[in-house]
Amino acid sequence: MIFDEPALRKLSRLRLVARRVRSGVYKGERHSIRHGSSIEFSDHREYAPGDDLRRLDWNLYARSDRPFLKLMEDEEDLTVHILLDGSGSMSWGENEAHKFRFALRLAAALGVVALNGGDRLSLALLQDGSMAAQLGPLRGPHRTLSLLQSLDTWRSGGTTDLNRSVGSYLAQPRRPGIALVLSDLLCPGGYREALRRLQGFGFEAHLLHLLCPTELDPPLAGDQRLVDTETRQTVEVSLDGGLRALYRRRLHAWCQEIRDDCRKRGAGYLLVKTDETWESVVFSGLRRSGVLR
Amino acid sequence: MTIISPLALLLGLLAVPIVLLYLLKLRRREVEVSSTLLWRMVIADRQANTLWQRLRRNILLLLNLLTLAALVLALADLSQISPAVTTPSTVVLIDGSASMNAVDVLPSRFEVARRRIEDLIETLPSGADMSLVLVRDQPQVLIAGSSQADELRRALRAAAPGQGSANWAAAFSLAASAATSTGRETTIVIASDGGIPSEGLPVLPAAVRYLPVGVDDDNLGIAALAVDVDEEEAGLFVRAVNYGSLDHRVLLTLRVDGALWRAEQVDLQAGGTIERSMGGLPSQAGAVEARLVRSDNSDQPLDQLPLDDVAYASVAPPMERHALLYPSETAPLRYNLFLEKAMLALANLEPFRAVPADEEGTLGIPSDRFDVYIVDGVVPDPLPEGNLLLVNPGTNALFSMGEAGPVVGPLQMADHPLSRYVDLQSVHVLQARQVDLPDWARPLVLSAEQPLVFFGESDGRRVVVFTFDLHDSDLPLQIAFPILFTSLLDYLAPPLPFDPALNRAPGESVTMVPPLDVDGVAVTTPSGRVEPLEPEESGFVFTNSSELGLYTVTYQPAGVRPPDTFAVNLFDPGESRLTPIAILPVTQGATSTLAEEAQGWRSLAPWLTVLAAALLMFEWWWYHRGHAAAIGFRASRTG
Repeated sequence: MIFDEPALRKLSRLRLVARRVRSGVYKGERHSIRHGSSIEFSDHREYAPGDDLRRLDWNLYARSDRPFLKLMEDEEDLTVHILLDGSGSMSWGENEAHKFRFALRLAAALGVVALNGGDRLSLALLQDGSMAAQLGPLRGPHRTLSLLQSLDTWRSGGTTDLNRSVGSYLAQPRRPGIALVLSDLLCPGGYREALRRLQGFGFEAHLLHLLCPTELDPPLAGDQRLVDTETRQTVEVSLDGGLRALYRRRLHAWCQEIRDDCRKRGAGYLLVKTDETWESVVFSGLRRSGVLR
Repeated sequence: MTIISPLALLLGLLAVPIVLLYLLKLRRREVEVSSTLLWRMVIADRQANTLWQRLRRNILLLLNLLTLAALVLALADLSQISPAVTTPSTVVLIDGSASMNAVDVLPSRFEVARRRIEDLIETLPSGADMSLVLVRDQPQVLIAGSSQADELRRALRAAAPGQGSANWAAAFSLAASAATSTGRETTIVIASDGGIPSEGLPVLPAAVRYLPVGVDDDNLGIAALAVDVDEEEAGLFVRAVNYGSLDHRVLLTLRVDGALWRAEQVDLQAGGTIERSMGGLPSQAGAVEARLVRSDNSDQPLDQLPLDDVAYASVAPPMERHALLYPSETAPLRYNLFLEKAMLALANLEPFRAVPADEEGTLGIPSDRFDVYIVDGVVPDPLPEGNLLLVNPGTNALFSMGEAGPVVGPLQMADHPLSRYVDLQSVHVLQARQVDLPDWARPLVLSAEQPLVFFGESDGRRVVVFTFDLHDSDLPLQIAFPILFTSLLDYLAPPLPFDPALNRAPGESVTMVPPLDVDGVAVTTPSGRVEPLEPEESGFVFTNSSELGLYTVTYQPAGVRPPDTFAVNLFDPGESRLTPIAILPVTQGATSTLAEEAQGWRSLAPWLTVLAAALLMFEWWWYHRGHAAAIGFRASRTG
C-alpha cells in the first residue's frame, strides 16, 4: 500500500480531532484532563496506597497532617483505535470499489494521520467474533512504513460478529481514545452492543459505514437464489423493478436508522460509498464529519 | 358467448401439472451476494404484500396459465353470437351506392356492411356456398358460388363503394338468376342503407334477409347547379337541400375557375330547400363550383355525406360551324331559299354556297372542309367527305331512291331527341320518294310506314335525308321547320364536342364529337388520371365517369381547340337522403319475404390463438429480461 508524496504531504497536514481529551502515556500535543507531572498545578487529592510518593505535597502534609497528592495538569498524547471489519462480506466490490481494500486504504490514511500527529495508534482486524490480527500501539511518523507493511498482510474472510469482536478487543487493557470502526455493518448481531461497549469504556466512537455500488443498487433481476457469502444462507427472490426499488428504499431507511442511532448515542457516523476515491473520503467526508481537521 | 366443444375444456386440467412442474422445476439461479441481511429485511417488508404482489413474483407461472387458458378456449371453440345464414346457398347484394360512403357509423356505412358480411362468411355452414355482388351503377359479381372463406373475404375486401346510384333492378335480376341456377335453397342477403325502390324490381325467388346499416340522416347537399350562357354574360342557378332532420346554418360558396365569386350564409331548415339565381357570371368562365361549408370555421365535417356538399358546372364557348349549301339547279344557278334562310337564322353557323366549277355546272369537291354539306335535289358525284343533309336526293352512293308518290296519312315523329319540341300535326306533304331504309338509317318522320325523314351514320359520317321536296310541303312555312332544322344541324355539326351544361350522373357515358380537325381526345379525371380515348363511330366516348367532380377534355393536335370541361354531380335525392331504413320494402312476389334473423356462432379461436402466441412472446421477453440482468451482475462481481 503506497501513498504518493503529495498524498502524504496532504495527510501530514491533517489531525485527528478528539471531542474529549483522553489520558495518554506520553506527553503529547493535547491538554489532558488527567493530572500529571508537568509544572502546571491543577489540584490536590488525598493519598491512596500505591500513589507515587514523589508527588506527595509535603508542605500541605506538614500543615494539615494529612497526605495529599499534588496534581499537575499534563499534556498528553491521543490514543487512536482503528477497528477494521475483516469479514467475508467486506470482500465485495470490484476493483477500486472493493470494500476491504478500500477500508485498508482508509485505515492506512487515518493511521498515517495519527502517527504524524504524535498520537498513539492501535489497529485490529476483526474476524469471526474475535481479532484476527492487531497492530500497535505505534507512535511517531517513523512507524509509518511498519504500519503500511502490516496492513498489506491483512486479509478478509470469515464471518462477522462485531459485538463479540469488539468485546474481544476490549478484553485486553486499552487506553480509551478515538475508536474508528470501519465496517459494512452487515452482521446479523448488529453493531449496537459494540458501540455501547466502546462508549462504556470511554472511547469516542466513529462508525465508517462502507458499502459498494452493487450493494447500493444490485443489478439483479429474475428468479434468484441469493447466497450469503459469509454464512452461505440463501434467500429466494423474484426480482423485478418493484422489488429492486423496495430494496433501495429499505437500504436507505437502514442507513438512516444507524445514523440517527449514532447521533443519539453521541457517536460519529459516515456512510462511505466505495466508488468514491479514498482522497474524497479522507479530505472531504471525514473532515466534514469532524473526525479530521 | 358459448363453448362449441366443451370436452376440450378438460385440457384445462393441464394447469395442474404446469403448476406442479413450475413449483418443482423452478430453477432459481444462485447468485452470491455480500450479505443477505438486507434482502431478508426486504422480504420481511413484503410479508404484508397483497395477492397481486405475490402474483408478480410468479408472473411466469401466471403467463403460462394464461397461455394455457387461451389455447384451451381456442380448442373448445369459444364463439360469440353472430348473424348467420343456414341455407346451402347465399347471394349477398352489397349496396355500393354513394350513400354508403356516409360516415354516421364509423368508419363508413360500407365498411360496417363489409364487416357484417364478414361475420356471415365466418358463420357459413360447411359445404354452403356464397356469391357476392357489389351493387353500383352496374352490379358487379365479386365472386360467384364459393365456399372458401378466404376467397370470399379476399373478394369482399377488394370491393369499394361508388359515388353514384345503385342499379337495384339489374342487381335483383342477377340475384334471382343466381338463386334459380343453383338449384339449392338460397338466401338472398341485402346489405344496404335502404335506398331500394319499392316497386319495379324483379321478384326474388328466395328468402331475403336484410342487413341494415346507418343510424343518422343528417345531410345537406347541392341538389342542382346550372349555368346559362348567352352572348353577353352567363347566369347561374343553384339549389341546396337539407335532407336531414336537423336545422343548419351554412355558407354557400361559389367559385369561378377556382377563385371565390360569391359567398352567402344560408339557413337550411330540416327538410328545407333554398334556391338562388345569380347573374353576372363572366361569359368566359370555364368552371363553376358550388360548395356548402360550415359557417363556424370548424374542422368538423358538415354532415354525414360530404360527397354531395359540392357540385360543379361547366361553361364552354360554342364553336363556329361551317355549312356548304349546294345549288338546287345549276342552269340557271338557283339555291333553295328555305334552306338558306334557315341556315342564316342559326347561331354559330357560317353558311357558304357551292358554286359550279365550270360553265357546264359541274359541282366538284370543295377544297375546304365543311362541317356539314347540304344538298337539295341533285346529289354531287362523288359525295363530299363529311356530314350530309340531303333534301329530295336521287339514288346515290349511300342508298337508292324510288319514284315520288303521294303521301297518305298524318305525319308521325319517332321517339328521339331530334324530334323534341317539333310539332308536325299541321304539316302536310304532297308527295315523297319511295325509299328502302338502309341498315344504318333510322326513320325520324313517317307517314303510313313511309319514311319522310331518316337519319343515321354511315362510314363515319352522319347523314339526314328528307325524302320529299320542301316545295311539295308546307313544312318550311311552319314553326316546326326551324326547330327541326336546328336539331338536325346540331346533330350533323354539333356546336360543341359535347354539351358541357348538361349534368351527368356518375357512370354516365359522355360522347364527344369534336371538330373534324381534331385527331385525338383525352380526358383527365378529377383525381388526375388521364385517359386517352379511341375514336368510335359516334365520336369519342368516355365511359369511366364514376368519380364525382370536374373532368377536363383536351384535344390533339395541341391548340386545335381549347380544353373543355364537364361535370359529374350527385344530384340524386335517393342517395343524399340518408334516413336509414329498418325494414326493406321488398314486397313483390310470394317468395320475397323477410326472413327472421338467424343466429350463428362466430369462432374466437383464431384470436385466442394469437393471444396465446403473444403471451408466449411476452413470457419469453420477461424471462430473458431477468436473465440478461443477472448475467451482467455476475460479470461485474470480481472479488
